Amino acid sequence: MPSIDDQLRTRMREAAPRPAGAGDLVQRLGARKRRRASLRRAGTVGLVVVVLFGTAGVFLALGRAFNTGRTPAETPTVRNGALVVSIANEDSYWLYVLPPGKQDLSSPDGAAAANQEAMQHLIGRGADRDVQPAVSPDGTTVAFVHHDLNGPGSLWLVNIDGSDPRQIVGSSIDIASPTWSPDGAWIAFSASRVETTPLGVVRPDGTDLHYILFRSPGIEGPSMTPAWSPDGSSIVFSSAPSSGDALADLWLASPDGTGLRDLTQTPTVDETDPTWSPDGTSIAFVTADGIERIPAEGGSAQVLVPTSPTGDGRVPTSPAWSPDGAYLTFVLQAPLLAATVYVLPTGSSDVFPLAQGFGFAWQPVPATGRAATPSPTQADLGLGYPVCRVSSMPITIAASSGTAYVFTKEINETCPKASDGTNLVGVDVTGDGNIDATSGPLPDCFSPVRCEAFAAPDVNGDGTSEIAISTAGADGYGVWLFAVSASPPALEPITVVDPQGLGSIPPGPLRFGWADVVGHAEGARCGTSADGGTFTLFGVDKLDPNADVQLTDLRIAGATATVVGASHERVPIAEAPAPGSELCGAPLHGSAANFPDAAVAK
Amino acid sequence: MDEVELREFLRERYPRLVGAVALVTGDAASAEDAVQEAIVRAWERTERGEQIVALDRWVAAVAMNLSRSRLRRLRVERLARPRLVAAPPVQPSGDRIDVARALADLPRRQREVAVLRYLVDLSTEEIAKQMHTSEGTVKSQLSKARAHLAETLSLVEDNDEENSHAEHR
Repeated sequence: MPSIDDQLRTRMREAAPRPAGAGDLVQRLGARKRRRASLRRAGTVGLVVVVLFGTAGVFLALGRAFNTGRTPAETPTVRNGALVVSIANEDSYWLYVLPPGKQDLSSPDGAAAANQEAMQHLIGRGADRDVQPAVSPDGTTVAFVHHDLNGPGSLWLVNIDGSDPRQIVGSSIDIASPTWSPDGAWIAFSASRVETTPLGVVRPDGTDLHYILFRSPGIEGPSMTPAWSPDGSSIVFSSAPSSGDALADLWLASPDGTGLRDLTQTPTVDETDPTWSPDGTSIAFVTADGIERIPAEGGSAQVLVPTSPTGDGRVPTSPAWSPDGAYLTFVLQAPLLAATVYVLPTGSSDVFPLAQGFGFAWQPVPATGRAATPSPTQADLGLGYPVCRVSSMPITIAASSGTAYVFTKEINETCPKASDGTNLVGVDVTGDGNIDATSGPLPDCFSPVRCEAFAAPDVNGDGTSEIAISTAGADGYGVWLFAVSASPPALEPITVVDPQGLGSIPPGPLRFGWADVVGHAEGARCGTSADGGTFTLFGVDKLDPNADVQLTDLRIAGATATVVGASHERVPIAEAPAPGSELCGAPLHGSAANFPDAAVAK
Repeated sequence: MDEVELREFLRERYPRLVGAVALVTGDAASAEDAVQEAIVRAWERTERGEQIVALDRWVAAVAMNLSRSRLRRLRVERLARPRLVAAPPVQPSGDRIDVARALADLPRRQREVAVLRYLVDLSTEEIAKQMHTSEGTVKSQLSKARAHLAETLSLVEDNDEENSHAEHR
């Protein structure tokens, strides 16, 4: 019998909860470190919004590289549907579907990848390994490779709703990497157990199975990862030339096997995993330098995604454009870390995670009329133009009632993404339901929470509310403050002036953070001083057992906030100010209403 | 700390440290948060040229300290709303619940000492150093914790020679 100490060791090891997956851990830690650095740089009013974009710079070079080349077709004839992903469960791999509504494609830095809980199980049970999905051009059917544990691959189809799974080619030829012809009439794949490793081609009903043999002296190795061109005229695949120790090149051929040519002719560079842009003008592929792109007719390569784009050593693989061409999607993976599907939007400078999964396929949704979904009809609030995504809160104006609004202007009768659209603040000072004055546009309305009505406190005690508007970030809120006047109706951002040069906050529009993260908190509160009411911004750095508190006192009159004091104190953490569920006695609205009352809660 | 070290640390020590803090606080999500924060602080320090002699010990202690913050729980709850990837459901097991309950009965300090000793494998000397207390105090807390855990978990004393050696390493 082991000693009590050993028994305790064993019992504790068994009992200790495990972390929730190491997926993006290195990346998360890096982002957290940058966030802390940004908070320090920004001082007590280090705005959450600044912090959120701290990592964006890393990808600027990336975005530039991406933008200089030819861009995919601008008018999509196909929309993006669900994302089918292959996810590891212990030793097995099953396919899941992430529906369009659960795809966060407008995420700034810090977004989390959708996990299985956001997805529907498509197929897979027990020790099945269901991998390498490919969705038919009509979006109805998923082709995939099925392995019984470590067995060779067979080719299966299943309807996108999970019904009618059927095997169409058995495992004797060990199938990999299926790709649909653009008319949906054929599926090509790599057949590694057939001598000389040709590409296989079969009808979706399992008939007409045949092989395309490349009898070129140039090709020696297996023909891998085929991709059918959008116009159906050619197939690109990866294969090593026969000369010496040459590494894999990309090859292009007609589906009948004629017209074979070496697209890259780079014996010292290994090119694999080719994929077509939806407009057929270029081909992206994987090399040791990341994901690159070349024109479909051949030419010089351009890096789209460098090796380790998130700085954590994970390398990009398996590129594919979204069906509408708006996103280059790829998998980041490294040994021992969960693989994640990442997205690089066209024209954006930021890659971000979309979903768990080490293999994926987009479901194309052929256009059947208007691509965009009109937003629900909103009253135009007397503005003369349609608006959407309206949030509001009651305000007080010289002791009578009004309403403050935050809204997005519609574009062509549709509601743009908040990050793309024009977001404004408006006030109805008479209570007739019409907006009498607006201000904006608000610059940083981040998805998914966007800009919201935050609170309407009367911070200077003049009987009229000031209007606080928020944008939500990963760790809290950035808040703007606006001043309202009734006659004539006007709404103005409150501007900081610092006549004494105290320098604790920058002059310009008044913005402050509302955040309570590990080691740091910031917010604002009202107080009184000898010569009237003050509005005090606080920043708290908590270093057990004490807190460094930086305070900036403002006197607000009309649309001007004058810095009248700045101080620094060190207090026990329990006595440090904390943001809570109200601002100067006014309740928080919108998602911030859930902000905990940190000063009270234990 | 370079990336290779960090990755190795995350692979080798991170799960154990999260488990340790979670056993002390009873909350796996906030434990992860505390350990991550501690690692980031260690990372920052090494970039400033400070040397952290025993990273494991340092991170364990800082994470334990951080996890005391009453605000952490609030933050985790709030952030869980839009951002955090949900933790996979944990299979509840009788054993796990027993150990967690037995630990929960202990005063916080004893709980920390027991977990640092048995789960993180720190010596009593290392624990004392990190808690800025004497080794004698740690030993007495450990002995109390050990007695309580053994009784609550019905562990039978057998070959207990380790108790007189290992605790002094």
